[in-house]
Amino acid sequence: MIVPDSATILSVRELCAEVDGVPILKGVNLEVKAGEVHAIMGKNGSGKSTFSKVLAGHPDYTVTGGEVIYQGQNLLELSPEERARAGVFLAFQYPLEIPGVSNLDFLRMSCNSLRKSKGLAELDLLDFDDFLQEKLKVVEMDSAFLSRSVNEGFSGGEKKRNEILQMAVLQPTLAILDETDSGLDIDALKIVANGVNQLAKPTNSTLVITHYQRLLNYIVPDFIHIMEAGRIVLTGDKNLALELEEKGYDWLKEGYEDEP
Amino acid sequence: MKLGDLSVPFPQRQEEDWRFTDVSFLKDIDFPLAQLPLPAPQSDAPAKQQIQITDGGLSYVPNLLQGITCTISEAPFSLNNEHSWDYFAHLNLQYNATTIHCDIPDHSQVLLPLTVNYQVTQERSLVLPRLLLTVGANSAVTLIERFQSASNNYLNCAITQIQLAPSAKVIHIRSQLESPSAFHFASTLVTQAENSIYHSYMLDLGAKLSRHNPYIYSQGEGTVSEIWGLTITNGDRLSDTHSCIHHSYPNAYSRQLHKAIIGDRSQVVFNGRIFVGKQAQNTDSAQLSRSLLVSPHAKINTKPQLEIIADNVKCKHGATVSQLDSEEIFYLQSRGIDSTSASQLLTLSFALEVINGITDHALQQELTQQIKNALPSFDKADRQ
Repeated sequence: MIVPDSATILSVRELCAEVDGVPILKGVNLEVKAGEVHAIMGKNGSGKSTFSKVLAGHPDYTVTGGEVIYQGQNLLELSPEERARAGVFLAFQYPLEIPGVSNLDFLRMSCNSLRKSKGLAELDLLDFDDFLQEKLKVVEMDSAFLSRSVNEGFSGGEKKRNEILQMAVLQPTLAILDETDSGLDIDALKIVANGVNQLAKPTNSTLVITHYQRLLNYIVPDFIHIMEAGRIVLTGDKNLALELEEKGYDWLKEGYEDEP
Repeated sequence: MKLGDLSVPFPQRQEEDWRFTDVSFLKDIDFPLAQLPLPAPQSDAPAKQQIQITDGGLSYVPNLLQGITCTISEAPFSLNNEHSWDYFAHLNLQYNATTIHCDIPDHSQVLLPLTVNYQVTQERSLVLPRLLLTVGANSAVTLIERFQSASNNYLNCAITQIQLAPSAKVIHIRSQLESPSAFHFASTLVTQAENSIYHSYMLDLGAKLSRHNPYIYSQGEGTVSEIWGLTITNGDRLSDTHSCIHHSYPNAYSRQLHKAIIGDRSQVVFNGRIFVGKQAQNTDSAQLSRSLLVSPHAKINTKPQLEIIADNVKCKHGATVSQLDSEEIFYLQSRGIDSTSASQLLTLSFALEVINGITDHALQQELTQQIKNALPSFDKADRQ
């Protein structure tokens, strides 16, 4: 939702980044305010996933220019765990499996590392369990998932729901969802979208990275940005997605290539 | 006692079986043979199913259930030609005339695991424990062997022999937790009659220098053998596992996973031999060795060794050596976990796969704790 006079959560200016010496981001500009849901759409290879990983601090990407200000601080100076503790959350396109580590232990470890950084007392098993039962409802997850190893043997939909469960536990200020709709059937998609919507508050913001318009039927964005060749080339409201769906990404080219 | 004066030659690096493990320095150390204890009666409330072997001998009369017996036997004990290179096993036979023999009668489902604790109390001594477990037909038992001592410096040369009668089942949990300056040489010899099942979990987590030789002989049709092994080393330690699964009869099944986590300047050696004899048709055997190097100076020598004579068998093997996956570390970091804790958690996760198959929850927890203790500074992580 667009909240009048709300604080700026994320401000990206002329961000450039490369991987293995290959430039991917070539001057990204983006302003996200509290309460807003932004979607970034684009073809494969347009740089949208790279953008999400750079924001989360993936070590494979090197920032070569520009700046990212998150809640008044230079995000690029922070390690990935410091970013997470500061409230940046990335839901992975391909969540990793961690055999031998129970989902419950992992969630508690993660939650407590955030609490510790905020000077809060760590939650013991009982308190954490109470806290978690509420969060499970957000993604309609059975508590049986908690005793299983993190993502091990989970279906695609279960992995994505687990990401949203982690998000519910960590209560981020900036949630970045990288292709969260990929590999989901319509039922799983609805559950995931419903979870994200429940977590969206006037005080936080959501950045949805997606190739398809489909997810945006369920998570309705305030702004849609189109990324192409490492830059945001077009920004509009939710109707832009429908137009894209109808005309395809190639239609855009004519639009922006004429611009100076 | 000086090592070397045996009919079996002292191991040298030139021999294939000792290529990566240099034991020559042991010849110059004087290890007096430990005095054997006299088995004393236990207290009023004797621990059940516990066998205490101190300095190589039975230290008290155990309180065993379900008709299990434990005797000190002087019956001859010999090694077949496969073990001609095994100097330390021969040392055990040469200087220890007695075997501690536990017997499980036929048709017994032993409820409480049989636990054998090996400890050394005499500093700078040579200890030569020898255990024989005979498991009757259609019987099932869990054997827990734990090597752990308060002493620092000693040479432990142990032999464990397990004989499974037809359709017997043994779950064998072996934890080598010797002191960081101790030397540990052991052979585990398993013979399996037809349709018997042997599942083992072998953790080599201690000792300055250790060598373990698990040998499994399938001596009847339709045997099932599984070895789940884990070696963790740090400092300048060396741990060597030379295993052999020996198939001589048809329709046998065997699985082996050996994992190693190697830190600092330590070294791990793994040699996994699978022998499938001419008669062992329809053998289904698989072996995998996976090693995780957690330091740039750590070293692993891993070698599968398949010798297949039968013509209709399924045998596969593989070996991987890797470091922690940076993508996995990033995933944990993105959840607020610092990179050191992330590495430790992933290392633990790598290790725990080995004991995943243990269904007894308390036992699995105990082994998990042993593994955590062996992974340096794990407990210091902000994981509670």
